Amino acid sequence: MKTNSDGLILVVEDNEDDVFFLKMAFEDAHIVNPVHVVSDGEAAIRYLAGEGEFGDRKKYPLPALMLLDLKLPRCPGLDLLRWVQERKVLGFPAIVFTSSSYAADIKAAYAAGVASFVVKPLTVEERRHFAGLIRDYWLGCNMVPPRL
Amino acid sequence: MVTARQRQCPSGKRASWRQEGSRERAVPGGIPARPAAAPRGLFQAAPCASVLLDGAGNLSDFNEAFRALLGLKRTRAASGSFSACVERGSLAEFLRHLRGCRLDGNVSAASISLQSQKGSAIPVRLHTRMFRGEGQTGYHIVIIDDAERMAAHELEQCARERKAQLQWTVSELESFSYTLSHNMRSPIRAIQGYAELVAEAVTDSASDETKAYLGRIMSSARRLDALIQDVLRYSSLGQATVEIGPVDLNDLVRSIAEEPPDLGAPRAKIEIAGRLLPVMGHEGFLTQCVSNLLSNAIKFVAPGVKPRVRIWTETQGAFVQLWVSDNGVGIAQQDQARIFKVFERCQHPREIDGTGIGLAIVRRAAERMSGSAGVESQPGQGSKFWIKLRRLRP
Repeated sequence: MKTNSDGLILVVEDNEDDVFFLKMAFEDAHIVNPVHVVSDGEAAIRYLAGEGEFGDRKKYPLPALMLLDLKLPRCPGLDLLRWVQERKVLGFPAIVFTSSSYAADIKAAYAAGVASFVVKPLTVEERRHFAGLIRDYWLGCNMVPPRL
Repeated sequence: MVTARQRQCPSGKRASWRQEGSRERAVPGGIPARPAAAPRGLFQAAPCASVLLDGAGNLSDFNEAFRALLGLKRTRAASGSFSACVERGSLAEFLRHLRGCRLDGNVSAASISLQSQKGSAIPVRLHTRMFRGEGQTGYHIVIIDDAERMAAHELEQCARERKAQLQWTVSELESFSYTLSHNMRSPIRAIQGYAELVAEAVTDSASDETKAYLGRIMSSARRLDALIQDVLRYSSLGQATVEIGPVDLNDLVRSIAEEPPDLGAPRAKIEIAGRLLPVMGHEGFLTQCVSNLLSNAIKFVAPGVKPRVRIWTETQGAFVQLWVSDNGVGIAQQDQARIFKVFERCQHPREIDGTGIGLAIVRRAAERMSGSAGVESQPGQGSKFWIKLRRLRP
């Protein structure tokens, strides 16, 4: 067994600004893991299922961590989470990263098997802090099954 | 006349309502006999219309209420056929009901619309018992005016529809304010984020003026974000049901007081007097109340003054009153009612930041927990804010 420190991070986010800030925060936190961004829920499902343009598992490996927004085009984040939940074999933590702190959303996300629920930070400083926590815990400590 | 024998009827035996000398005869085989002139007084005085028809549909007896219901003249209704009393359309409905009756002792019921020859249609319920007497069959019909019940039913229906509509509106509004604020926060993040990046990029080259402008952009974005979050909190207090249960105020207040909001002010001294009394409330709502009261108490001090906050509870009848007193700038009498409204603020030095919703949240949350909130204050003398909540039943 090994830690995930070199696993891929799948980011499911349609807002380009948020993708930009997140990547910048990862960079500031010295996260060197590959990051793949898909901009809607259906693309995320195709990626995780290894279908269509994501057929090559070597190029598009299963992630060590998935960060997803709840408000996503085509397939909402909760539906994506439920899809993941039904296929337990995938084995990776999903973190909701969203603007919402709505109690109903938080409950629904946990019911759909999310590992953590984070409200998107406002400032650069807060984002750096969040990226540091991702690096130390979800990439440093947390274990996922080895990827082939 | 009721005989003495009946009046002295021993308990356990049912007293007969029949009058002595009643013409009613029990018919073998369980077929009901005509009630005849039996309790005549009750028949006549009953508040609902009651009528006896013979097999040919002639009126053999009826009461005052029946006459009144169909608006019959005394002379007219004294004899004759039932068909002469009602309008043709409702007669057909009536006869259909009679044809459905059986001579089995059961009462058949139907709801029809009955219209007299002159009057308007009345919704009625018919309760009919077929009987055999004096060589032919007949019907005993009780007619209940349904107009009132129908009106009440309609009213109830209307109220139910209104309620459903209101519930829909409330949930629409909630989801609207939620979606709106969710969508607003994302451009605010972009404004804040890019302004910070510009500020970092121009640290060495920009003039102080430019840096100040960037600072204003960022503080405005932060303020707008805080505002949206407070509006969200306030609107979430409107949720249809609030589950009220016992809350350990002592634990709750102490854990909030341990981490007072960082307001850039000198560290506040917070004193909690004794063990705070438990209350009936909602933990989430109470957390919002206490943290808002505490941050206000710390925030609104004169420049250079170290905030000192004292918190205690006392029993007030069926309620527990939680007090938060401060050494702040105080609130003038005329402002004291205003500050609990959304977006209402007192005149304060510009550097004191706030959304103007904090105390509105406190009051609304207290009210949703069947409590109340208020303040006692004088300018320059500090303020004593309180919330009153139901006491924990022993």
